[in-house]
Amino acid sequence: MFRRTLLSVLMALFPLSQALATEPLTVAVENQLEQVRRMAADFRQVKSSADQSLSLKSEGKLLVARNQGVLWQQTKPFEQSIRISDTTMTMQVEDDPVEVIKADSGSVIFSFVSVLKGVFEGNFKQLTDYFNVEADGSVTDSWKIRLIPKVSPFDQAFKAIVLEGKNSVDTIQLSEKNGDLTKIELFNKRLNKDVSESEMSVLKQR
Amino acid sequence: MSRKVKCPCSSNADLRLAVAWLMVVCVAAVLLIWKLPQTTVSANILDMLPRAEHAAFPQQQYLQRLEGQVIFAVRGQEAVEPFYEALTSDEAVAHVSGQCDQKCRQQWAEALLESRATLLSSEQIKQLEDAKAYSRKVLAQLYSPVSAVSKQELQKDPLLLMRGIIRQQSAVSLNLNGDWLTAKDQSGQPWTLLFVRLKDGLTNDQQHRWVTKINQQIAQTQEAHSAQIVYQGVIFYSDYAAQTAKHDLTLLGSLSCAALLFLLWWAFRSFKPLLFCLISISVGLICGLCACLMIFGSLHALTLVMCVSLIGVSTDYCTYYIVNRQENCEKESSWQTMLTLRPSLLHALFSTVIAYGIMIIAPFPGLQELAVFAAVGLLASCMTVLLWIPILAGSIKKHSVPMVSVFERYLDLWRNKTITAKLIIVVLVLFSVVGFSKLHIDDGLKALQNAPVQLLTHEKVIASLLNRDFSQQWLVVSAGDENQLLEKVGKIRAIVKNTEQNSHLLQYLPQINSVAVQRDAIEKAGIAYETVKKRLASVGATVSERLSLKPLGLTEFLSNPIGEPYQQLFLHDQDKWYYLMPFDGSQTLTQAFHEAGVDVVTVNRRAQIESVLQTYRVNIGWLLSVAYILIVLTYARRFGIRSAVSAALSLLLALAGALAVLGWLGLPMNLFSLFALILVIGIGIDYQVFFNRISRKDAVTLFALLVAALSTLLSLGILVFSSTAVVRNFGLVLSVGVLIAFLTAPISLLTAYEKHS
Repeated sequence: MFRRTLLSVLMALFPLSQALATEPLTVAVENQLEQVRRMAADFRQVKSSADQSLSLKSEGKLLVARNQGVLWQQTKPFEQSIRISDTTMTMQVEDDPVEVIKADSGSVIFSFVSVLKGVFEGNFKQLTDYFNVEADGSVTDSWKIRLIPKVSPFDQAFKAIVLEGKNSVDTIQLSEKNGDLTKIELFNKRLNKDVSESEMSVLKQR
Repeated sequence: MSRKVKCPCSSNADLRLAVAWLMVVCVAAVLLIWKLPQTTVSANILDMLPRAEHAAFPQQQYLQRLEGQVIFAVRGQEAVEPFYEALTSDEAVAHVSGQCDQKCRQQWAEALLESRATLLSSEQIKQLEDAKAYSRKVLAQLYSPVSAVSKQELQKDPLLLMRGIIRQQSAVSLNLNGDWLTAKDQSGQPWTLLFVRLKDGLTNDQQHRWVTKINQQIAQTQEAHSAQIVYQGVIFYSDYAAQTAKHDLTLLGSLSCAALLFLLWWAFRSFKPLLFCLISISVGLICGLCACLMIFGSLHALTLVMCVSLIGVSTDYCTYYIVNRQENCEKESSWQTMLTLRPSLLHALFSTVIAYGIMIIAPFPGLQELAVFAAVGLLASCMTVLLWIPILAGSIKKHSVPMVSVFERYLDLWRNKTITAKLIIVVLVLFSVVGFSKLHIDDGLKALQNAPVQLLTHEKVIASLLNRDFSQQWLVVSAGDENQLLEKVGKIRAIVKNTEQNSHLLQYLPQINSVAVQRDAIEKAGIAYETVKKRLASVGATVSERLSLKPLGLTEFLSNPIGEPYQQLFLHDQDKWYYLMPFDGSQTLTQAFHEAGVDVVTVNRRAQIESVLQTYRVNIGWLLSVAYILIVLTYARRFGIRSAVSAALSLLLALAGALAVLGWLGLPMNLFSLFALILVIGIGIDYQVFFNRISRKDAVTLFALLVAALSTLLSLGILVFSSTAVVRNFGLVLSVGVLIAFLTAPISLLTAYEKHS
């Protein structure tokens, strides 16, 4: 009798223990990243084609305000800025006129843009509808989050999106289905109060 | 008990005529047997209306195309695959789109590549003019973290034109989810859409089999996968109408036949007269159907339904003869009876044919059919009574009129000019006046045929998913060639784009460049490409030496996978090109189009049909008055002014009362009510002729009229139970009209007695 009770308790616990093993890290990382309300960083990006024949390097500044928007300011090899909010994406190359893309309902282009916004914000909680989330490492030390697309059109574009970091995101890798790879490194990071209001005000423009 | 009188045929001439008539009937029967199997029975109520071609565009061609289209929306991902399989494996289906696998996507990408010049927006073309800025743009995309330009894309489309095109088209709410085309409803639930094109020239039976099969399939799939499937398509409406008509035809038809048999048995208490009636009816049916098929080559289901009811009218002649014959079979030969009755039978036939002749004038295929059927059928019935029945009715059992006293008493009411008789007239007048004050006219299509609620709810779901309008209203633009047409469409697009509230129209207004515009764009792109090539080389990206970009004609574009969805917006007929867009008829927009120099025409199919209905209602109203006057005049010539006045009053009471009942019941008056009135005139005058022709025994005539009226009521009155609103309306007006015509049949007695006293 006792053995049977123990067995059923164990059996009931088994899936739970399995869940306990993986859930906490993703949840913990999620919680950790949620603390990052603002971030300013320098970035280095390398986009390389599958056959390695093309390698495009660029540098600049990245500004992130969680739930408000992302500003990607490329300074090298030429100036370009990309500002993403929930409803629009504006792009400007050097002094050319600003181009605006609106988030029309169901727009495929914008669904990609908002995924990338989520990635920059470290807000992969909102991505779980489209991606399976896998976590590695530990929350106190360094961790690695892999986002594997599960629905169209993302599964046709990405192999995986990998985020690595400690306290905040350090590197982002966008691995495309065709073999192309985009690697973004973030450094000189300043978080939350270290980012001044005046710096953040850039995001609020338009 | 009853003495039988042998039939001394009046002459050989009569016998020869009878034989000749037999041969005519045999020929008609053979023709009918030969024609009937190849006959299509149409059930679309719109087929009963004039096939008016719209002046602005080849409407029939367009409507035929619409008829073959069906849209399904499936909620529940597991149900999609099996349902798709079931659809594609059906032999009535020509094509199903909605699934797009890897290979299909590849084809799309290639088609898009091929159609680049066609789809370039004017903004894109403008950007190409500044080569330096354009090259910066290309490079920026290459470096952008969000753009993901692959090397392959750069090789195939170095100016990244496809991206620009896709971005322009982002307003479309359809998405590919996995391999399936989906759209989200207001609550965010995804529905998979399947677009079906049915094979051309499906017969009614094939259509019905397909609809039945699909409904079973839907029920099965919904059950098995707890999914929901909705659909939209003209075929479902026409099949519903066909089935309703068929149901009416079989159910009401057999009910009516059974009731008639019972009535005739009650009236004659003998098998023979019943047989005569059946012979006369069958000959009428054979000749009527044969005439319809020879003249029109097709039959309308509603015509058939209405024709069943005409059986009742065609028994009148037979009934009238037999009642008189049974009464007088001891005194005279069957030919003598016929000789006394012939003038009134012919006069009655003549009046009825006048009434139907008017229907033939109306350009309504369905009603012309009805008119031809009725006129020929009644003529044949009457011929049969005139030529055959006297031969057959030589020996007939004497049977006195049942309930003579009742008839005599009713007749006495009129003979003695009693208060009651006058009261009947006063009541009828009051009934008519009050009914008329409540009468309303409605030419709306809704009043004719009620579509089932389920079809309408399904259509609503699909309309909201696709943001599409199925109300058959269009904006039509035409031009002599593709380029002119596309130029005009471009202007419309520009205007619509500038107005916020009309953005739903943009899905019908694709940017499709004329070949001339494409050539210009290709030239600009060629120049820009030189600069772009250098900039790309500077960052290590090598692209091909020459830009491959070719113009694509409209016809070619519409036949590739990218252009295919737009096929239904374009129509090519003889030397002209047409563009059609679903359009709700906004005045300000049409005005803006005209101001921009685009000659647009708005077509509202519903309004178009309703205005036709209205026009004909008014015209038939006039024809009815003319028929009334004509019939009364011919009557006056034969029976004198005094009895013509009373006949005119009886007819008027029948007509007015028949319309008044619509007012009392809150039903609308429409064209079809007037068609019933034409029959009321025809039948009403028959009663007057029969009644006044005979002076010998009014109760016998009244009994013949009662049998005739009851047979008409049993056959036409039964239409009141039809599930088609228009048939109900027709049946009701006719029944009430015939009833009043019967009740007021002895009206001339009022004046007759006045004369005597």
